[in-house]
Amino acid sequence: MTNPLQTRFAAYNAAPSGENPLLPVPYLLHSGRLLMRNGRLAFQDKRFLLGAAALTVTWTILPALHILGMDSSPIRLLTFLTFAHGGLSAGLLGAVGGVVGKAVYGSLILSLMVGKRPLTGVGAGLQRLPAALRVRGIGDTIPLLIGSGIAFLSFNFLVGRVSAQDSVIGIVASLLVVQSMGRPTGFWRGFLQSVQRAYLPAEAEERYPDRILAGLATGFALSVLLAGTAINVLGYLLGIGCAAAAILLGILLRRAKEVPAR
Amino acid sequence: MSKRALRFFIYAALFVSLLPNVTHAQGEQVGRWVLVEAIDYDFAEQWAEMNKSPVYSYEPSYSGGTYSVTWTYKGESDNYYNPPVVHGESLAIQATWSAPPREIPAGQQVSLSLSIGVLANTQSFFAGSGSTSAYFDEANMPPGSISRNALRFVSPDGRDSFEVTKQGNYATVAETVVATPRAGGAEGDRMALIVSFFSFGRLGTGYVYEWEPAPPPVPETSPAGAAPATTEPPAVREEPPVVGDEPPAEATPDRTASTVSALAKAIAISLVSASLAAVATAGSRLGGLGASPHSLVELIDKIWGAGGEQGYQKLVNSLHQALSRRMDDLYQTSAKLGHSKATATVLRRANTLTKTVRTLKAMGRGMSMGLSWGGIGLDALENMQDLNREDGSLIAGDGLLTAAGKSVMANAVLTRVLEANPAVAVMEAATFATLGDTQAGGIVSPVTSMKGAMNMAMDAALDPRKAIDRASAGAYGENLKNTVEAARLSQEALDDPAKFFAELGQVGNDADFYRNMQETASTMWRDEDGNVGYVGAAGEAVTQMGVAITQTAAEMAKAAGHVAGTLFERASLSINRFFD
Repeated sequence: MTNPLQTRFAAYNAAPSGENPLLPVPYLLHSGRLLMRNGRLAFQDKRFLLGAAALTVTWTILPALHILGMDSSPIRLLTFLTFAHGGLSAGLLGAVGGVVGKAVYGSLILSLMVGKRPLTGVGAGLQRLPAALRVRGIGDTIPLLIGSGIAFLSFNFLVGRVSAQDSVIGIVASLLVVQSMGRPTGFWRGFLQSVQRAYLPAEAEERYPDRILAGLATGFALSVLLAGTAINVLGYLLGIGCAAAAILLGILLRRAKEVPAR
Repeated sequence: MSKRALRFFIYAALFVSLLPNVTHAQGEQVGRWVLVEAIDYDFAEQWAEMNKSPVYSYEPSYSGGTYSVTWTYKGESDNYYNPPVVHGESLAIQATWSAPPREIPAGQQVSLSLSIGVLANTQSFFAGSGSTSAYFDEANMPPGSISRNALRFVSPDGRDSFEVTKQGNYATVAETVVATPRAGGAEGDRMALIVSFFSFGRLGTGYVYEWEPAPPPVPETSPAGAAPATTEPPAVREEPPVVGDEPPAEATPDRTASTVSALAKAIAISLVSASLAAVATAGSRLGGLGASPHSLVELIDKIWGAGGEQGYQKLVNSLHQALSRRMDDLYQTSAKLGHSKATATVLRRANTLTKTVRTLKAMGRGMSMGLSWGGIGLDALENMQDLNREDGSLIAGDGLLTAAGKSVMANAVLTRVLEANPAVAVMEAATFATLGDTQAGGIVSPVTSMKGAMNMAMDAALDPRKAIDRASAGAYGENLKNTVEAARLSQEALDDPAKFFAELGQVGNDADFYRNMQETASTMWRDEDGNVGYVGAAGEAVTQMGVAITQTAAEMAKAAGHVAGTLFERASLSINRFFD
């Protein structure tokens, strides 16, 4: 007798020809399709619609009060807590970044509204963090630098101009990255694994994705400190600096390996 | 996050946000900031130092809110570059700020106008720039330095710094910016409105304000209709709502247009962001396998209060739907990761986590039957999983109805047990928290053992051989696996005692046996990735010690056995000889 579970597994995994779900691009396409397929539910569910409406109102009223000159402490605090200022500075790039940042932040809030558990996995991620941050050799710093660099660049992109008012997104992003460290089914872990399989040498250690995620989490957490510097593009500068350092270290390590033993 | 925690968070946020509001309200209309001093920061020493350069010269200038710097290249021309470096190329940038108000009533917004542009530009190779900003800060803060509590002047579109650059074609910027300073504390409290200009070097002004509290209000003791016994109202009451030398903001058409534009932008961004957030939330697996809004939670919602034949049918339908959706989740996970050990790990962890969350919920809410029904789906799926014997051959999982039936019964019994013994639930939660998804955790977990025993009993009733097979494969937990192994050894001992004891006697001689025990002692406390928690580390140390003690005891027993065996052999020989 055929097990129904096996049958359904076989049917599901009959992926379209030429697609390998473990390569980065097909993985992204596959995840995108899943997101859109499940995302359509949002427009059929009153809870999601009400939540989205509440977010729209909040994100409209708080900046409106600021624009109209009401700039009291409670308004500033609520603006900080809700990331309401996101996307309203730094022109088109800032607007795009703000929309992405608000979508990320909003998904966390919406999860609460519809009864999901948005912080599931954070504890497990925190347990994995120390091991991922442990550096045994100079090579271990490369994924950490890459992660931190991406985090700094992303932070600056999400907030537009670095300011204390928008820095809450750094905290939220750091939490979400830690969460994805603790969730084997997380999108980011899966994506990094697919990148590792596709582009990194076979001997690259298994913890590579974890190290990049740890770098991301640390970078986002440190990004919050940038708010105190009042340098609008410091995130971009640091991000580029980290990326350059990672590339330089990578080149140096490769050369060191290539030098024949005398 | 539980609803209670969420409620606490919201109340706390509201409370915290109201605190400064109350303070602000108390400070409002009880005083005003009065301009007492204007400090010019010409940074003459810095400019002098910079002018020591043999190739560049700088001419800073400051007068009544107008700041300018002229920069000139004094070095030699050089056509090597494209565009070339030209002797005498220069750039002059100027910023102008309107004068700040002499008084700022508490809570009133201050409006300033500014413009920054290029006076002269003959640059060829070089690309200088200039920027300007203003902010309220501590009284002794020089321009260019800024404290944590500074409050920046912002334009309607939220900008707080304005610059002219080559990238921006040195276009002149003219803006109106606003900020509302904090209310003062005691009389004599000071703050500064700082205007800062930067082009190659810095210039600025610090307008220092001092707080003047209003006199306390005089109680109205006069009879009705009589004039109140107060002096003339404080000047602050007569101030326009927006102070500064600019006309009220509402009267400027440009400002109205930019306000409307900024509002439209805010609305558009909010709408797009919220829609994306909704799609991302619904589309992601953020809540994990056990928290999809269309599976477990919905299932509980549907069956809550179900009764009678109709309710039963509803329950069965819901169960089928939930199982089907849960399977879809599993298939998606499998498709993402491929058929591998990783998939098995993912499923097992998801299952363990969901079970623990369920147990914790039950601790808080008193073990509802609804949650026990919710657990059925996962356990049923677990029962349907195929397993492998040690030789790799397949042990088929249960069919859907058998799996669901077993799961229903096991969960029902477990619910009763946990209701009667809440300590078991606490122990389960503590086990997960300290040992997580480790072999040791599986051994200690009471829920795993109880469910395993019930499932094994039901399997044994249907197919005893399969039950033994599944137990050996670890389907009912580590304890039952070990129990079955012990039973199997006992059976072997009964069937062929000589062989059993001969093999047992060899165990103590086998170095690999102890090596395996040491490895097991190490791995049983770790998860799949080799991570170990604090409790696990302590457990590992104790277990390794146990292995060492066992080895020592075995060596001693072996030595004793050798002596006893020799004595026994000699005695036998003596007895045999006696009978011979």
